[in-house]
Amino acid sequence: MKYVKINGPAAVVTVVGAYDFVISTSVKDDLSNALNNGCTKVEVNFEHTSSIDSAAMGDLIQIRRRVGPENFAVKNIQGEVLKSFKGARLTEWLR
Amino acid sequence: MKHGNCILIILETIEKSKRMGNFVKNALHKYEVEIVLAETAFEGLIKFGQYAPCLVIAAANLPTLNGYSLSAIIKGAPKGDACSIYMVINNNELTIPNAAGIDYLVMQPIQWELLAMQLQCFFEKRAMAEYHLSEIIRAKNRQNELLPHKLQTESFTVDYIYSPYNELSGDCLDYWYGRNENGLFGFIFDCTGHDLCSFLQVSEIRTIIRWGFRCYQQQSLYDDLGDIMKNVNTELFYSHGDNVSCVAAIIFFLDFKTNQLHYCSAGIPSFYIKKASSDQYTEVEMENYLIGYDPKADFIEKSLSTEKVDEVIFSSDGFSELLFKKDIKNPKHDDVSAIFIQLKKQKMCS
Repeated sequence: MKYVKINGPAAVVTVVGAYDFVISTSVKDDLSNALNNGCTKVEVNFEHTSSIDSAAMGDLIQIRRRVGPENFAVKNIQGEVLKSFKGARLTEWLR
Repeated sequence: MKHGNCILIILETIEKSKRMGNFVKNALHKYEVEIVLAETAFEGLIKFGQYAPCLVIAAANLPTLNGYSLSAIIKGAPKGDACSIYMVINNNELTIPNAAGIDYLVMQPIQWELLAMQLQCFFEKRAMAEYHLSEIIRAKNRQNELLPHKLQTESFTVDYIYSPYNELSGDCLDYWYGRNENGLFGFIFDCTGHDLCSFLQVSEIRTIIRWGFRCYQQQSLYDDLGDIMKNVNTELFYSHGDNVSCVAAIIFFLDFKTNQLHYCSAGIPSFYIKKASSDQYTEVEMENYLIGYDPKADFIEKSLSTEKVDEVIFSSDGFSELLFKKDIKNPKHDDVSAIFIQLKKQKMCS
């Protein structure tokens, strides 16, 4: 899996650079694979992500819906990614 | 004759090629194929360049250039990867080099009925692929038909750019002059993807937004842009439940009576304005949920005075992500669409 690493029950997503529609499709496939193989939590680390588009945010919303908000976490949101999150009021995920 | 349904035949002798040609023509009569014969491998290579056949039937043991080399040369040539190769071999020639690029083997003595069925399957699959392509072209034309025209009045000009990532677009935009011609109404939205599923989603959302605007313009049901957006969100959840795909959008009403721009976003973080006093674009930030995030979400309308504004640009993120960036490795990675509004200030009479 290119974008997802398994850490115990958690599937940890790391995208370096722009997190766009094309990459999001691969991330979704990787995560489906991880969740079908026993992972119950998803964590998205934006430390190395330069931007995120609406398609990728939409996919993250679907994934969060699938695992439940209590099993979904995002971290290291900054710069352009933070701006996009604010634009979609997803900063409530940071609480 | 259907363009591209050409078959090139190169067997050991021209008599064998003619016999094969007649057989293939009969077996594939409903597919309107064109048969091209070559007497030698060299002539075959030249005719491949001339006719770009979709299928080559060649013998393995051609006298001047063996069939495997012929096949490898064809596959490496321009348009070679769009060509399938049937290689006629003897049953003592079962060692096939991997690099030859052969797609099917035809063993001698040839079982003609089996070969006919194989060729028919090949062309049936090809016809199906062409049908799917024509469906996409029809959908693309339909999307293009729905695009607005440039509007130009004494007080404003509005135009757009629309550039799908690949054939179909998940973006949609529209604008129109209305409510006794005192206002410009419009929207732009961005669905996930750029395929036939996106095409269907775009059509569905466009209809709901246009209906919402009609109610708004008639002041019959909605008097706030937030209500239009909320209705789109609610309708999509009603139709698709939790499987609803998220959509980023902005809808607007530019009121020329009051010089106010009313807008409501859904997940699009900003738009751009250029003020009369400046040659720089200023980003106006917005905050609202994406459509499809929460069935109970509220969407807040905002307003902005356009007294001192010369230009307004609304866009999907496929366009805004390209703006003001010098180091772009990928010059276009999504559907690109934007609405450009230029406001002309009326000069006061003395």
